[in-house]
Amino acid sequence: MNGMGFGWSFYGFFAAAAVWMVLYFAWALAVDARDHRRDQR
Amino acid sequence: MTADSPILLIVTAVYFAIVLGVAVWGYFHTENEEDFLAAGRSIGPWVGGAVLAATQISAGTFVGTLGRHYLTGVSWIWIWFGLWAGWLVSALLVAPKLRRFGALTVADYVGKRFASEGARTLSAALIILTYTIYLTAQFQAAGEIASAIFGIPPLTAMLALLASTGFYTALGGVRSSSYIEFLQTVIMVLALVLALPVVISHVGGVTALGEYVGSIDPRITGWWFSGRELFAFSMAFGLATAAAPYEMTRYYSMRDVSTVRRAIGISMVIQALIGGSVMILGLGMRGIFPYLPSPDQASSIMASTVMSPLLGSLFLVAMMSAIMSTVNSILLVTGGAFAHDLYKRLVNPAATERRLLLVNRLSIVVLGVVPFWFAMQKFGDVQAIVVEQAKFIASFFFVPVVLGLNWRRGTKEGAIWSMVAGFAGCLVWTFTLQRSFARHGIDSAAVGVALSAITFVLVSRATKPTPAENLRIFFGPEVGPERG
Repeated sequence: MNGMGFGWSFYGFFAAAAVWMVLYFAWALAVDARDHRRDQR
Repeated sequence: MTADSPILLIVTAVYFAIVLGVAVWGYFHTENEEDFLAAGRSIGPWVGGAVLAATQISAGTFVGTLGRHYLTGVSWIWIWFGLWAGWLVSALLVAPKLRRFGALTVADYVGKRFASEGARTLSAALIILTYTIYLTAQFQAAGEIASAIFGIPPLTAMLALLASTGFYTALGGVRSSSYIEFLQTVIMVLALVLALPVVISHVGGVTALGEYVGSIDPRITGWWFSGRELFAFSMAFGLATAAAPYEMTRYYSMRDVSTVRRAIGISMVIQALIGGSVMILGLGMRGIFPYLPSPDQASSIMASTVMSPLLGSLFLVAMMSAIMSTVNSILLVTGGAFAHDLYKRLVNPAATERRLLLVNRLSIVVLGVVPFWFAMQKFGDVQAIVVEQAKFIASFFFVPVVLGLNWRRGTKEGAIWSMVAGFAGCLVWTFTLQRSFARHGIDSAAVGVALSAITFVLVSRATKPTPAENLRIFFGPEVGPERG
């Protein structure tokens, strides 16, 4: 990270947060779809 | 910028006019206790997500957290993952079951799940006690901010906070509070995001900022805190978030389980935006003013000297919003705990809806005045009080909520003694071995939760199981009011 001012503690946070949010919404939408299918049965 | 700056007066007047308007609208749409405490189960994912974020973001974030980044740099940002782990636990194990249950207060859950009025009363009393301490921190922060920026006496600022927030909370309950918190979240995000280019341009860009603050102390751009310290802080915040009564009651106000899950996700995105911005602004202020007498002054000095009058005014209103939204949520929980769980159950079980609404409103006013007195005594600094109350909430409430919702064998005796053991364990550790935390690395929240969990399991195994009809609500087929 030389030449970027900050290290992994800085840039790593934003990358990890983005991955966390994507995984969360993927899970939430999958569970919603599952519940919707179950309700229709 | 001064207290009589015309732009600040206009921005503040517009803000309060909108807040008052929404509160009056809420008053005319509140007919019973379900409206007052659960907004008639009408809140959608965007407003719900903003509500959860606004409740989480407090004076501690704008003053204490920004100051902590100013002093120690980047690494504190990683504690957000502890908070989000708490939200994840809530989304997986707590929120769906609570929303399906569809009650009005957290003590409602305790009373029904464990078939015990004693457990309900104890949980309501502990919530009122702990949140009164939390409110003290919010009042204290309001006094300190007003005093630091405008030279207004802290007492005047605290009175203004109590009068304004108490008024709109008592008037419109959860319904109008939710829309006001949506507005407050928009203001907080806007103020922080708009402040970024201003502060970054002052220091010549992100790379130049990193190189400069790194030259003051390399730990500022690297790791000031050890992994063990970050883990301990994260765990305390995460455990408290997973079972925070002021968040849990808001699940009841949302349309359905799907709305709750989406609201939690939206809330985490908002928190990431706010947390990341606060970090960069704290670092930026270190670059502009490297040696402030107190890190807690960074946010107020930034608003009054670095920003334009308009942006500075927006930032100050955002700080006000952070405090008001937290005070509002706490007042709703403590007022509900008193009116719904203590007054209705123990004092006047035959109370009419009209009487309950009145008692809810009066409780909010009375329970707002008590911490006001404590704040005048200044028992500790704001960030310390915020952290300590989170540890106590986690210690007495995490186990009865998370284990109670997911382990059928938990009993009322287990719940009562786990709350007592968790609270007492946290209290004793805080005043004894917590002082040597740097040596052993064991935090009072971990001790409280561990003691609470052990007590819950051992006592529950030794006592009579909860009746099946109480368990069916949480472990059997989905029941309870659900709309949308």
